[in-house]
Amino acid sequence: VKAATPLVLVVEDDPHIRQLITLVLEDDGLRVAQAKNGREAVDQVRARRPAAVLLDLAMPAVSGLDALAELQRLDRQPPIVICSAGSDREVRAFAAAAHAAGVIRKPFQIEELAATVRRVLSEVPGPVAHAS
Amino acid sequence: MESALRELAEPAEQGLFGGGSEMARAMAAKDWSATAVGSPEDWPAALRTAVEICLSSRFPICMTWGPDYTTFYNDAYLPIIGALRHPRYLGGSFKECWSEIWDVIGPMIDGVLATGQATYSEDLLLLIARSGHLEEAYFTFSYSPIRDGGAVRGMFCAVSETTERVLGERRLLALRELAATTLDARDAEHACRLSCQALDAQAYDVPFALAYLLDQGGRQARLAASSGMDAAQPMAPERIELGRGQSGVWPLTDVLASGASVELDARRLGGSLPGGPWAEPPGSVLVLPVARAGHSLPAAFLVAGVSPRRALDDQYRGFFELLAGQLSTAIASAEAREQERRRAEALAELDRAKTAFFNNISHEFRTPLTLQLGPLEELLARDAAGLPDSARERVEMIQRSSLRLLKLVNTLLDFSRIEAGRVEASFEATDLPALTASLASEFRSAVERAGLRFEVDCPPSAEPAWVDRDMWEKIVLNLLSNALKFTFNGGISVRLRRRRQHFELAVRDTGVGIPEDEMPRLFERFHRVAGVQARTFEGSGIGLSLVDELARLHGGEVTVASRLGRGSTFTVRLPRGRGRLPAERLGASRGRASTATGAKPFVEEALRWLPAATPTSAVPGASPEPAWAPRPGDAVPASAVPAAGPERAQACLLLVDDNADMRDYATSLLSPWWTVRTAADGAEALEALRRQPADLVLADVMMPRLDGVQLLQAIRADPRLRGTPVILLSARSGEEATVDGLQAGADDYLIKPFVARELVARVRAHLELAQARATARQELEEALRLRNQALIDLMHDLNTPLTAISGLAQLLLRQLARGADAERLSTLAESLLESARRLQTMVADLDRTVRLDVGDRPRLRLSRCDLVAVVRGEIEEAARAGERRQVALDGPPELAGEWDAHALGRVFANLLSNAFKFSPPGEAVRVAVAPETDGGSVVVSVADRGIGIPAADLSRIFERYQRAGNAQAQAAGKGVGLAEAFELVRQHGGTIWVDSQEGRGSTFSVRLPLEQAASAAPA
Repeated sequence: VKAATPLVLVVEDDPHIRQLITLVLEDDGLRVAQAKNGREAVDQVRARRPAAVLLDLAMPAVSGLDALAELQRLDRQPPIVICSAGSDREVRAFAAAAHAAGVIRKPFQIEELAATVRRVLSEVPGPVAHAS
Repeated sequence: MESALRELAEPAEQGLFGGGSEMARAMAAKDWSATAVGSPEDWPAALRTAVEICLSSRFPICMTWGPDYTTFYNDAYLPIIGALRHPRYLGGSFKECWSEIWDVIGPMIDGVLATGQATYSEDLLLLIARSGHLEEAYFTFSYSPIRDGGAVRGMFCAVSETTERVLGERRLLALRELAATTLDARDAEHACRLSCQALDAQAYDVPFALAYLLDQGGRQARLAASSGMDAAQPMAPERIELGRGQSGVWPLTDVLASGASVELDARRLGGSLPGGPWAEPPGSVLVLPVARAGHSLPAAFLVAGVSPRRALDDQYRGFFELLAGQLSTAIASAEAREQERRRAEALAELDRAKTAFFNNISHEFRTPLTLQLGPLEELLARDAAGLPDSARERVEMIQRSSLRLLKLVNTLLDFSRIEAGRVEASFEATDLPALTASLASEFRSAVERAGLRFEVDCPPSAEPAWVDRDMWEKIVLNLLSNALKFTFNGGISVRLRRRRQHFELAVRDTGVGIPEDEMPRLFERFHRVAGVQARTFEGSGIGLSLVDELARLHGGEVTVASRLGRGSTFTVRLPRGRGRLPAERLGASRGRASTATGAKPFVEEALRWLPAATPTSAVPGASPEPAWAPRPGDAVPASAVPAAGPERAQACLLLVDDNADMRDYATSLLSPWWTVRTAADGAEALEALRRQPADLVLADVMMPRLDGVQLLQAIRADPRLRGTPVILLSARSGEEATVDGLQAGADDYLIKPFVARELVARVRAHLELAQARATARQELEEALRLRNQALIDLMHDLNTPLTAISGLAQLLLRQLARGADAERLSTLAESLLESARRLQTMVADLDRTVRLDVGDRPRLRLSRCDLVAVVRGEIEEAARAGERRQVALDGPPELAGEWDAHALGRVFANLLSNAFKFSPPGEAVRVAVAPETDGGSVVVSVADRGIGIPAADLSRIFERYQRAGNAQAQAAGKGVGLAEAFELVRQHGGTIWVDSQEGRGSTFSVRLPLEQAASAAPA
């Protein structure tokens, strides 16, 4: 029995994808906060302390990687799940560099998305050293 | 019928004249009672028997009986007696029958009758008149006696006519004679003369003959020779004009026209013709064309008299045709020989001229060379101390090169003297071991510096050798020079021995040896052994050849024994004593300038093959290390090269030449501008390049181990070196050499000697060209990179709606399964549809992009339309697609013109989308439609207050796949929208441009003409 429904921050520049992910996670019984870019993401993390962050790696304004770097500079860093359409090798390289807790390739299966987020949430607290 | 009746009437004679032959019937029908022999029933048995034998024989038989030579003959004899005399002389007098030959056969027959001795005659010529005229005929026959009791009463003759065989053999012989005689004909006329001479002996068949040679144009025939007829007769005119309307004595024009021989009736010809051995003139004359192989015009005409004693039958006519054919062959081969002789003469003349030229030029060279060498030596000997180092080096280089040239010139001079037979040897009694040892010792330093052992073994000899000292010097020095050139390990030995008959010099080396198949040509002039390792590729291929010639001049010889990879021994043998030398050259004074140079040029040259100034401990066989350090650029006066700063001083050249002086010289020319590395041959160069590539390679063509062309091929075959510009240097002049070099893939080709300015200019040009090529390659790579990036971006862009579609569909299915309410389901479906529409738009964009790329541009479909409405439509469309930003439209309510409304819609959609992408959400986008004051065009501008475009990117913003370099710009769009807008505006005959300031915003402007001129929209 959980004390509270965990909050997940979805960082995604495309409004449609953002909406889709939100729908999927909410359907899975989670609470969702949204951010369009890295800057908003950092603000949201500071303000709302999400239990996990789902981060798109290719975003305008501040690229996903910049956002990642900023998030990692925070004192209490939530676990990060990377969501990307890049090549497999690229994404895994990013994930290793970011100490990401999980990786989701776009396009994704909604079951996989939900399951990955669930797994990461179950491993809270603390950042995971290495993504598998 | 008549004869049959007679047979019935006189059955008694059936037995005697039986057998049914024509002559039997004729004899049966004959009224014998009127003849000298009387009626057959009164004939003696011997006569009856003989007649029976005669009639029953198939062989030609005639016979006579009694003192009146009463004549009998059989069927086979009919062709011999002839139609004119049969049956007239049956039972008549044989003497009257053959009156024309009775002087020949009468005595023979009388002899048989008188003595009873038979005769035999073979191929006897009898001029008979059986056809009404005298005829040359030959017979083989035997007269034998017919005895009656003891007395000879008659003559029995078996005869066969051999005319055809005799004539056939004679004519065949005539043709052979003709062929044999004309074998040595020098030219066409000579061939005609020889042919006619041969025909003189054939007067029976050819009473007279005229050979007319036709000139090249076929206009005139000239009498070249005649037989049986004096020239300068009316019937043998010197010249006969040919052509229409020309009618000479002989109808050559007709023969020329028809190409066939013509038979003329001699009686119709005006003049008198000789009959040769015959008493009467020829009855007819043949005019035959004498064909020239491969030509339509004949070479000549043969006019030949036909024997008055022979009918012109097929065989006889064939004989004349064969005569003409033989003459044709004789003329053709004579002409071929003549051409051959002329060629040979021309070649010989050329050879003489060449020899003379060599001789002259060698002398011409020697004078300035001598004048050059004298002062140089003096300068070095006396003033060396006063010269700066660099100048002394130069002077020494000049001296070395001049000595080398002198040596070469002297060798050439020797050859031309030998060739022209003007060698003036002076044989003197010489202490050969001492002379040889002293010459060899001059080479010691060079041989030892090469790291080779040097052994000189010349034991003293009490007996002097008779040699020309200059020549011996050349023999020894050339052999030593050759040995050093091809020996990399081991040593060289010089041995002189006195043998039983010879003085024997053996120069032995442990060098590379000579391939077996090269041995026969080793001493040939200008022959050079290909493909073996040598210290240098320099050389003219005359050293060994000269040794050979010089040894021969001594009555001696040079031989060689060699094993590939093991070494060679050259052995010179000179006969002892002076017995075999021309007496007048013994101790003779020298009339001509000596061509001996002493050992210095040989040694100096050899030293230059060795690693530069290395101590004597040089490793045998090792190739010299390249001089890596560039020489200080001390040499070239500024005026000698095009004025240009050392702008590419960092460029590095590799100079490859086996001549050390040439390397030094070219380095001094190039090093003020570039870094110069050097290598002594192609193999060393390739190794150096593989260690560290150069920006340009300058290579001599003729080099040992790996020559310039092979080096070039190796460079082109090496992926890392492939692009290196290569300039070939060669002393081989002529267009052919240049073409060879360029075909081999050289970038350029320079002929030695070259001018300093040209060398530097060409190197500079090729370095710049290579730089330009590299830039072009980088640009191409950049374009490819951009394109690939665009593709990656595109995939990312497509991925986004795909992700949405896929996710939404899964969500929809899950909700359906849970029995969610209709409103929730339709919201999901709407979202799904929306994403599908985005995907559709992207694919449409992609389609346009690709079409733009491959040049497949849709033709404009022009119509009158309202520009303001088009712009407004796109603004509304953007709003429908979810764009919340405010767009201010400024301009007239409407503006009509002739445009493709759809295409313009794309232009403004692209500009609006661009503005939305690069400006913050809160900022309005301003669109202005402003007709120009000239009334012919309109400017539409789309302004945003976005991030702007960096100045560096402005010039390329309308190029495909180009996107501004700042971060936000990179993340958005595919870089094709503006390119498409640019293209569509251009098709309208308009222009598009952008004003932008980074961080302040951009304004894109489009100027469009209101009406489309016919030529304004190129497809």
